[in-house]
Amino acid sequence: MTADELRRLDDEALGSALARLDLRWPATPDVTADVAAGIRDGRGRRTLGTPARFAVGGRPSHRRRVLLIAAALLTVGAAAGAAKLLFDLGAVTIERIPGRPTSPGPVFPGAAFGEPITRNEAEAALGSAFATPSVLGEPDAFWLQEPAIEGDDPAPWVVAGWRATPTLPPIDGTGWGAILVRFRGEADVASKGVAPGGGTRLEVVDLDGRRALWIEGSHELELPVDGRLERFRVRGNVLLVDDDDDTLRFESELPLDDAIQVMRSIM
Amino acid sequence: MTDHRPVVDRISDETLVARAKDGDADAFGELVTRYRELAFRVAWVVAPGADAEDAVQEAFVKAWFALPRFRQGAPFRPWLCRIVSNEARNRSRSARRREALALRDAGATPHEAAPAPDETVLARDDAALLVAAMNRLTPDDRLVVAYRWLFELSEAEMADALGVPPGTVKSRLSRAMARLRHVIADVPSEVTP
Repeated sequence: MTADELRRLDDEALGSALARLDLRWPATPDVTADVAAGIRDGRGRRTLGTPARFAVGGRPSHRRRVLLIAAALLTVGAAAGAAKLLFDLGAVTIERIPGRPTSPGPVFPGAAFGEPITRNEAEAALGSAFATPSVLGEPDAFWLQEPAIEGDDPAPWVVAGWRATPTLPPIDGTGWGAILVRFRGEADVASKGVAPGGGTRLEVVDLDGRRALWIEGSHELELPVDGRLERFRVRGNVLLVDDDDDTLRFESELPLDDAIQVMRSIM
Repeated sequence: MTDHRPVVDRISDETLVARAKDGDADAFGELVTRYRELAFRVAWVVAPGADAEDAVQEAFVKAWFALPRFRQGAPFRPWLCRIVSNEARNRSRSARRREALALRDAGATPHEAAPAPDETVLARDDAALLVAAMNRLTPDDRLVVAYRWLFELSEAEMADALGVPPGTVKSRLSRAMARLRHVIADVPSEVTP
């Protein structure tokens, strides 16, 4: 059969030929022990018992426990009482706080938040490459924030901002079209807040095996800034993604499907 | 081609996943054993080379930690494929060593059964040509073709594994097959089996 004849096969015939190929696959490595070790040593976010071979400990001690972000969500019919933890996503905890807003605070500026830096400086601060979504192109600006909470080592977090365009509408109150924050560390403290006006949508998303959370609508954000916690209002839509030792926070006016595509482009 | 689907007398994936979600590490270990070959081959298709093993290890670790968010009753196999392929894709960007799909040595392992009359079996040179063409596809195209024809995923499973709507699978596969035909013409006439 010539190459030309091979090309003339229809999809089914060509596929059938592929299925019949006697391929030489490399021997499958036995990864069982290494997987068990990876679970034991690595991103131990599940708290489990003590199974014999896949024992998983508590939270790994090497992770820096620095950051707190709490986005409190209004829920219909929530009774008065203590805050209820809804979601723990590395550096981000989500809480439902019954009652009304106590201190609305300013709109979270996202970009223009911290010290303006270059990409090289951002990557030097992180100690690794700062991967950004390819579909948005190179960010227009970078910022660095180095929160300092007493008793913990400072862990920098970096912000990338994209200016608004016709296809990337400005986030209400910020003037920016998209904001990506890469937090390094793990949540340590909780905070309170209530989304004024309600209507906030919260949806757990599986982003190619990574835990993610979609928050659509107003909510509050509490961040350590210059050694103290400050509370901000958030008006854009936010997709939070657990990215190993980091947590990514992508804010824009885009709907969920588009936000997922954006975040996929950095995975 | 090995059938990676569980046989009837084994515990179902769904049961194992449910147990693993509850923290049963042995159940997850069984899933690792059950799917490590498929996972490794998926990684190899995306990124042939030494990084495939690392990608598989990391993918299983990530799958374990993602299990609490895994929808009970959803098929495990395509979900795992998606994690593995993403991991392999990430690693392929920095991979130094490149390898490729290859045919087994002639006569090393004969086919277990004669092909059905409507099945296409190629002469060895033609098979080598087809493998060479597969190696010239982009990893994404190669993965789509492999899911369908090498790993025998259903369309629904492919949709899950690729993270696309079910209606997109056919068009994506069709485009990949068209590109395969295109590159067949570009493969040098003498290819090494």
